[in-house]
Amino acid sequence: MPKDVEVKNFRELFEMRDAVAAKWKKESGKKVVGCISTYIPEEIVYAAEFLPVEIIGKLETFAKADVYLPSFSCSFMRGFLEKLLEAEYEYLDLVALPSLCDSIWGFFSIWREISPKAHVYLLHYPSQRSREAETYFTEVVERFKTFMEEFSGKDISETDMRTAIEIYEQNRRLLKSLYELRKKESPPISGVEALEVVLSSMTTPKRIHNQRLQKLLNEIERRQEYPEGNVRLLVSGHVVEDPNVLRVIEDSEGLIVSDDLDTGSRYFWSLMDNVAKPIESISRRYFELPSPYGSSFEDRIKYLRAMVKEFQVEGIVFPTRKFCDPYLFDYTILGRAMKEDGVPSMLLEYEYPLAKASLKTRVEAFIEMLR
Amino acid sequence: MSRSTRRTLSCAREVTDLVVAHYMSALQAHNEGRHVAWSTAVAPPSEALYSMGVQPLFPENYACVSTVMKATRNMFDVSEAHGLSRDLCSYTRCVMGSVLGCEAPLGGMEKPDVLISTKNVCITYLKWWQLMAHALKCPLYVIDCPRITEEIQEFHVKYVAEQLRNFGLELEKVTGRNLDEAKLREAVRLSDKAAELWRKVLEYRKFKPCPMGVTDSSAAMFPIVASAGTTEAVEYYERLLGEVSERVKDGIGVIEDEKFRLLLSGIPFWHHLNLFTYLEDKYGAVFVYELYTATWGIASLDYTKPYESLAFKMLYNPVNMPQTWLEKWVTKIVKDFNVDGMVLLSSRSCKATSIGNIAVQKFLREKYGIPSVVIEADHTDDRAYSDAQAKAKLDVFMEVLSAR
Repeated sequence: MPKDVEVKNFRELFEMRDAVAAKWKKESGKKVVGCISTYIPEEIVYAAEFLPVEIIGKLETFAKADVYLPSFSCSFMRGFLEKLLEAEYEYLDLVALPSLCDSIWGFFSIWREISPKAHVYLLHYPSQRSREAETYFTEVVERFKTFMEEFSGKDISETDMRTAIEIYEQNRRLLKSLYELRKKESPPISGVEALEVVLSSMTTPKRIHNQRLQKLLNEIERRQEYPEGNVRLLVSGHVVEDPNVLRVIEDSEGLIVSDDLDTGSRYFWSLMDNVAKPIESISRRYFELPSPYGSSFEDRIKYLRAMVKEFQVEGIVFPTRKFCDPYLFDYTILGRAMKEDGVPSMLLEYEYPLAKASLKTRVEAFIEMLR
Repeated sequence: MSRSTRRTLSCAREVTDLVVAHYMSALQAHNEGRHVAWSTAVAPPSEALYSMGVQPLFPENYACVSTVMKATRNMFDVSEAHGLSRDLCSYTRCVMGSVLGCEAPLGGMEKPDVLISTKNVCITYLKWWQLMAHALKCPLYVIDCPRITEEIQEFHVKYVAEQLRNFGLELEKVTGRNLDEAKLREAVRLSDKAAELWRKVLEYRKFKPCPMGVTDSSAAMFPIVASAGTTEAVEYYERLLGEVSERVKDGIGVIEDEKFRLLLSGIPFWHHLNLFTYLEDKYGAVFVYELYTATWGIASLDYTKPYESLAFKMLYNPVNMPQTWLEKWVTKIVKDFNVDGMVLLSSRSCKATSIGNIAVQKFLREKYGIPSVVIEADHTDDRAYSDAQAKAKLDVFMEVLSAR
C-alpha cells in the first residue's frame, strides 16, 4: 500500500474546491461565504451554519477584470474579479472581505458597482493595536454576527459560537501538530504539501478536514518517501494560493520547513486563550495576529524569530506579489532584521503569468549562497 | 505660442513664499522649544496641533515641493537602494530618500518629535509612517479610520473621536503642555472658516469664464492643507475670495477664450503641470473643478464638538467614502459647473486615488454620457513619463469633445 495517498488527498481536496463547496451547498441547502479567511472570523460564519471558503481567483489572465481594475492593482483581487466575471463563483452567496488594503477597497467599490445585487460585506480590520481599537474591533465582530444572523435568518447562540470555536481550534491544533513534524531534521512533508493542506483547510468543511488531518497525522510518520531538499527555508508573506510559487523554491533544492504566510501558519498558529466570552475571544484572536495591517514591526519580527529558531531555518524567502504594497513595505524592515540575526533572505517578487524559469534562477542563486 | 494669455491670481503667486515660510516655521518652533509633528495630509488633526503650539509638517506636501523643484531623482535612488520597490508610493520613496540621508530641498524637513497618521486614505499612510517611525526612532500615533461603505454613522465618529482624545493625551506627554479645549475649539472654528471660504472660492468657478484654473487652484490649496486651524489660513482665503469674486464681477477668466470646461480627478502630475496649460493654450479648455483640491474643503466642522468634528472630517474624504457617494458628488459637479468632460489622472503608485478610475469612466459614459479620459503616469516619479504620449491621449480626447 502506498503511504503517500493521504497527503495527495489534500491536494485533490484543494483542487476540487469548487466542486466540494457546491456539493456541500447542494446537500445542506445552506449558503457559502467567500472570505479572506485569515482575517475574517470564520467561527461566526460557521456558527450561522454557513460554509466559509477562502476566495481564490484566476491566476493566469485577467482579460475581463482588466475592463475594471488597472494593471497596478494586485493580481489576487484581479484574479478574484476575473473568476466572478467568468461566472465561476456562482455558488458564493456572500463575499466577506477584511479592509486590509487599497486593492481590496478598490475591488469592493467596483464589485458593488458592477453587481449591485451581489452581497458583499466589508469587515473593518484595525490599523493599530490600542485598547480602543480592540474594543472597536469587538464591536465590528459583533456587528458581523448580527449581519450573519439577518442574512441567515438564524439566531447565533453562545453555544453555536462555542461549537464553532471548538471545531476551528481543533483544526488549528491539528495543523500545528503537522507543522511540529517539520521541525525534524528530515521533515515528512514538503512546503508545497503543507501549503496544500492549509489551503484545503480554508476551502473544505472543517469537520471533513479535521478527520482527514487526524488520519494524516496517524499515518504520516510511516511515510516512506520523504521530501528532498537540503537547505531549510521559511517563506514569509501574504496569501499564496498557488502552490507553484513554492514549488519553484523546492524545485531548486530548497526545503520549506515553516512559514509566515496568510495561507500558512498565520491562519492557525495562534489559539484562543479562553472562551469565556466567545465574541471577545474570537475578536481578540484575529486582532492580535502579527500582520502588516496594524501590528508593529516588532511583533512581526518576534514571530519570524520564533519560527526561525523553532524550525532551524537557514534562509528566508519572501514571495511577494507585484503591487502588494503592505508586504513590499514590510520586507524592507523584516529582511534587515533577519540579516542582523544572521539569517539571509531574499525578496521573490512575482506576477502572473508566472515566469517560473526566471524565479527559479533567482532562488537557485540564493540557495547556492546559503550552502 | 499660446493663443490666450493666462492670468495667474496674485494670491496663487504668494504661495511659493508661504511654502518656504511653512518649512522654516518648523525650524523656528524648535528654536522656541516647541515641537514638530509630521502628519498625513488628508484631514490631519492640525487644529489640535496648532492649538498646542506644535508645528505640523506634511511629508506628502514635501514630496510635491521636491517634485516641482525637480529634486526627486536622487531621493528615489536612495529609497530604492534601501529596498523600497519602485511600485510603491512615489511620495513615500521621495520623502524616505530624504529621511534616509539624501540631500533634499530646503535642507530636508525639520525632524519630528511625533508622527501622526490618519490612516483614512490608503495602507501607505500606515506603512510609510511606520517606516519613518522606525528610521527616525520617533513615536507614532495612528488614528484608525474605518472605510465608509454606506454612510458615516455615530459609532464611526465615536471611535475616531475617542482616538483623537487619546492622541491629545499623548501630545500632552510629548510636549509637556496641556491641551486647552478652548484653544482647540478656536482652532476648529478657524479651520471651519477657512474650509468654508475655500468652498466659496471653488463655487465661483461655476461662472463662465472660469476665474481660477487648476494651476492656481493647486497652489492655492496649500494653506488649507498646511495651516488649517490658523488665522493666517482664514486671512489668505478671504484675500483669495476677494480676488476671485472681483474677477467674476469683471468677467475675467483664467484664459481669454474659454471653450471647454473640464473636471479633474487624481493627484496632479507635479513634474509636468504644463499638461494643464497645454489644454488651456491649445484648446481653450479650462479645469473648473478638481476633486483633489476640493477634498480639503468638503467637511463643515462644529467647533462646539471639536473631537467629533475632526473625526467626521477624517472620515469624510472622497477616498474613504463609498463609490455611490463619489458618483453622486461627481454628477452634481458636472451639472453645477457645466462640465464638458473629465480628465482622470491615474498614478501607478497611488492605488487609493487611481484604482477606481476605469470604473468611474465607465459609469460617466454609460449612465450620463459624459466623455472622459484616463491618463496613466505617476504623480511624482517622472522617470517613465512620456509627455508626448500624455498629450497625444489628451489630443484624441479633445477631438472627441470638439466633435460633440
